[in-house]
Amino acid sequence: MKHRPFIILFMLLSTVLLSGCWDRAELQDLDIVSAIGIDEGSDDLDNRYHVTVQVINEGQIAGVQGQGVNGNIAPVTIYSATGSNVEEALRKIAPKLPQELFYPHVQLLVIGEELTRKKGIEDLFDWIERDTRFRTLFPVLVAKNSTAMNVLQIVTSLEPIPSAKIVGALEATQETWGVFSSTRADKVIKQLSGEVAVLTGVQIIGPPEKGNSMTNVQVIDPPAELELLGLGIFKRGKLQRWLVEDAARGAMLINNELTKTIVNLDCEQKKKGIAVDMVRSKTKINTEIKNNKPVFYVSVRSESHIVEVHCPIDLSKHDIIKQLEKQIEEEIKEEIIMAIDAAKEEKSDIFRFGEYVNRKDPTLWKEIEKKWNDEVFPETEVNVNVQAFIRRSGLRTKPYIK
Amino acid sequence: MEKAKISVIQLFAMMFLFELGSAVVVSLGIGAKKDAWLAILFGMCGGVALFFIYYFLFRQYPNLPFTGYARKIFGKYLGWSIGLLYTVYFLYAAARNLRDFGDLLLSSTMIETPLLAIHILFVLTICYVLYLGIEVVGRTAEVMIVILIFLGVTANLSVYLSGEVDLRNLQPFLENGWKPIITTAFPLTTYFPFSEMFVFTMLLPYLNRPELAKKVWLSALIVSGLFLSYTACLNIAVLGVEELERSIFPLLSTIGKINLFEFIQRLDAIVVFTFLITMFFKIAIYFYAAVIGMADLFKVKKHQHILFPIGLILIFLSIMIASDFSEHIEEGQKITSYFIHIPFHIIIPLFMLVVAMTRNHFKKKAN
Repeated sequence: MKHRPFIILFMLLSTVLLSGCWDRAELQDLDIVSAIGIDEGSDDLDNRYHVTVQVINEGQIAGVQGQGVNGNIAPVTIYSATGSNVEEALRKIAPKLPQELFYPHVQLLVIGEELTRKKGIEDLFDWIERDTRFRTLFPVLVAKNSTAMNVLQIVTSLEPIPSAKIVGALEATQETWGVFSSTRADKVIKQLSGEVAVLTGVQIIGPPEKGNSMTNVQVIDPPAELELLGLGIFKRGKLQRWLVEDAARGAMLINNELTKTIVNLDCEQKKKGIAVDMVRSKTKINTEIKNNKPVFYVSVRSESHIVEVHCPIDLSKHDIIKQLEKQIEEEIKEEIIMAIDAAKEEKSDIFRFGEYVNRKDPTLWKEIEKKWNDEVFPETEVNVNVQAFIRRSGLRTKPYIK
Repeated sequence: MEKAKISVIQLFAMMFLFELGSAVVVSLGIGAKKDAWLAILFGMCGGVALFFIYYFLFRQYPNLPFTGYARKIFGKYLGWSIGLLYTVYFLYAAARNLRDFGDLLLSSTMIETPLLAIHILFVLTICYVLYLGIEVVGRTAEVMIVILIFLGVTANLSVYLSGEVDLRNLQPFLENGWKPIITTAFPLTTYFPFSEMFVFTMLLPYLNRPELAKKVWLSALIVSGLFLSYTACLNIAVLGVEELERSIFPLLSTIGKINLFEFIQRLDAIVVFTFLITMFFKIAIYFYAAVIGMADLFKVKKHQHILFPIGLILIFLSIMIASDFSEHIEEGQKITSYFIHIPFHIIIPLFMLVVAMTRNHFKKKAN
């Protein structure tokens, strides 16, 4: 065993060398970025993009419970810089910061509406995929009627980190109201590699300059708030129009992304006097090729129960329930047709019907692929068939009014 | 040749891990677009066909490695030089795989680490295992295959539970007809990874039960083929064919989509481990084939004596073969497939088969 001392020395050296990591980053040297905003820059060369990062002020967030946090210091800070591309702008932020920016925890990406209307975002997202520091699972939203920078500087109540609030709102909306989809970055990229994309909007209610201060949350009714609103239709990377309310819900229904929502029904005396909670819905899309043209059959099956009634109506009768079911069917059908019409008007196949054609008849699809959005889709026949069921009426049959 | 014996299961584990090496993480057979999985299965059939050439030669000389019976078939001088060519090829293949490993690891997880640092550490580890002999490699493979199965099951379950799998991405079947499938399967997926198993002709003499060589080889080939085809399906179903075409490390992207209860996410380490384990065996086996081939040709008594110098050459070669990753990949697809794989995996073995058969014929006549 004459080698023994050498082996021991080697092992000791190894423990020193192997414990480290070349690309290590110490926690105290990092500034965690929670959201990124991209706006239009002043020109189209050196300052093409104006990029804003929202950095978490760790000390404020990690306050020990019971002690509370200092209400005078904002929980997040924003910094921004311009550059010809996003990565350059992100690096140019460094001189303004005490530490290195850390990106894996980005929760949200906001794009200013002006950028989406003028320059377009078709080529904007390559860095998310290519750079290993980013994860592709965060939502991408469009700042409706505003800039991304303004959206990121609103101090929010209840949830100190604004991006966390927006992401929470997205999830909660999907589970209760269901009008907007959570447009995840990887899915946005997938859509943009085609021609048409759909992105959810976020807008500021109230004057944005009032939101940029802790006083915004010191009152019970904050003057400036963030709200999710609308589905933006993008064609070749440019925002064409916003779908809101019913049309947006119709689009969600077609894409089979709607989980839960409220539908209003009429009763004899009152328009929209009954609220129905739709708890389950499933959409199937079938394609047929007729005379070398695709025809789509969208069939929706939904289940719901009644949650609110404003007129005297006897819900213990099957016939009445049946009438209401008919109404739901018509209402949903109308919403779906609204969404389809809007998409046809914009010549944008936001429902990816093209893929169904491809699955059904690849040779036909190869012929029409190039002119699909502009020529074929707007002329295509879409049949909607809805089956709605009201399963129960809550804890009461008749309402108390007579 | 060292005096060693490897068991049937050990050989199977080595072959399986060898086949998955790098093939499981790259976009294999992507030339066939949505039907990549079918191209892989066809490639596997090509691999099975080639196997029978190698098996015939092995049956003629069950106690010799490839470089050994090359001399028996072609005579002393020609056989020796062919053996030398093959050892250089094995070394080159090891270097290519080492470069694959280093570059993919660097571009995915360790951006700032120099390539050389990774290569040196990896080759040192491989040298250590090979210093201990092929039996140790076999036993390590036995342990690692269990770990790999565990990782695979975990990753698969999480992907399915995350609801990211959309089988519609695989439709329509035969979108572009049969042509792209056939042209991708032959030669590309046949050579990479299925005919690469040729290197095991150097290891078959170590098998403790030579009569089972055929069974082990074919079962490893088919199991790994099915597994790779399944992985291609999963990648397409999760990512869609467009993203798959863009990405250099698709399995990492697939696993990156896992998000269970906003809690179990970022399981990239699973892919990196899979990659590490499989590449370890792929490089180790190529390297070992090169080393014992050299030991055999130059009559070195113990392969341990030349292990470290050849390891140095391996590191040097892996850095020198390409200046950037794109060059490396292009070289692999355009040059090695045609100018190395075709002659080394098909033409020369076929030629040997013919010569061996004629020799047998004359021998019988003489008797």
